[in-house]
Amino acid sequence: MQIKKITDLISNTTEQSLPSCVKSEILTSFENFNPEKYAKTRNYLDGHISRLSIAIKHGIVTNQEIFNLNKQKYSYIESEKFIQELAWRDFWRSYAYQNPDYLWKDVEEYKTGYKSHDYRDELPNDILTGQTPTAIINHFIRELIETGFIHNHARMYLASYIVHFRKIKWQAGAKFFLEHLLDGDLASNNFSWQWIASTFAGKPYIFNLDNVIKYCGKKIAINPSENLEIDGSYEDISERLFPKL
Amino acid sequence: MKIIYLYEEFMRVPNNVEGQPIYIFDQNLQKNYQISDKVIEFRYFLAEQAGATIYKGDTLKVINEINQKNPISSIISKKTFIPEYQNLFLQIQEIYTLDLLPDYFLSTDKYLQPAKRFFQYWNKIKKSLKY
Repeated sequence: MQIKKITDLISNTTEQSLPSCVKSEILTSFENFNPEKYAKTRNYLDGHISRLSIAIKHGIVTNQEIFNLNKQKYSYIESEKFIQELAWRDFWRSYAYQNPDYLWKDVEEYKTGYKSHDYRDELPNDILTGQTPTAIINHFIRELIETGFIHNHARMYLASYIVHFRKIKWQAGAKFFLEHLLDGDLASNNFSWQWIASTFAGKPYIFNLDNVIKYCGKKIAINPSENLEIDGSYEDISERLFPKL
Repeated sequence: MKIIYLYEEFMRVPNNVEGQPIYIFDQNLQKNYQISDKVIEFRYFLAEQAGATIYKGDTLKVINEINQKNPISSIISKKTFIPEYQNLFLQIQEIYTLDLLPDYFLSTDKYLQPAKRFFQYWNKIKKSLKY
């Protein structure tokens, strides 16, 4: 069936504007990108990031085009961290080509003291709707649903919260991200979730409130009393989340 | 007629490729998860931007219908790791001439490196990226 207009597919179109994905505009905007600034600030929510993931995901621009453009202006030393981040995407995709079964299956066992069957299969309603006990997590969930994009560090916090603080299988969270992310790439997304979960890494990724305040505090007002679930030292949180270790 | 088969990873017609772009919303190609209306709308927007004729339905059926109206000489698309598309491409190849462009990688000749951790992979490819 031929589709003539978007309302043939969905009843309600978004009121928010969609990101521009015109190649010439993206390349022009990339002229302002500085890989050294990126290396120093990329983990901060207000840091200097390229925001190229949506265009790269859809093949509007390629990793190699970006690499070559960057090469014209910056040395390898200045650019190494940025090139590494581009290479992460290649790593996940290379692994997916060679191991497609692991896109949805655990690459390794969890290194949390728990087995896969100890984790829940589905996301509960409070996560789906952004009404968890933790305000910053709700902020990220709503941003994800409303805009289709969240900063990479926010993705890591959210994934860690879902898998480790709430003990839900990474697959449920990976589906949630793929449902909403405009740049949702099956390999990068699912293997990153496995990296957080520890099924594709040597240890689980966890975070605490201090870390969130450090990297997000300039952009989002964070009230500690509304984020008690993630408050504590890394040692305390690790003992709380992984008592069997 | 030459068809350029666009899909989620291949939403721009490369400069040197000629043909009629098509985009098909096919739920069978996304078995493990749903996509939000916002993602659907964005892909529709990209397909329009690429000048594609847009369809909804089973991909092979849609392509066969196009072929009945206007015989297809070949189909051009891009290689991918996504299993559902790999299977689709095998099915298309049984009926049509399919040309798959190489996938997009930084290190075009060394990208399929066996490695279980990123830095193993990085150590294998970084020499080819140094300048």
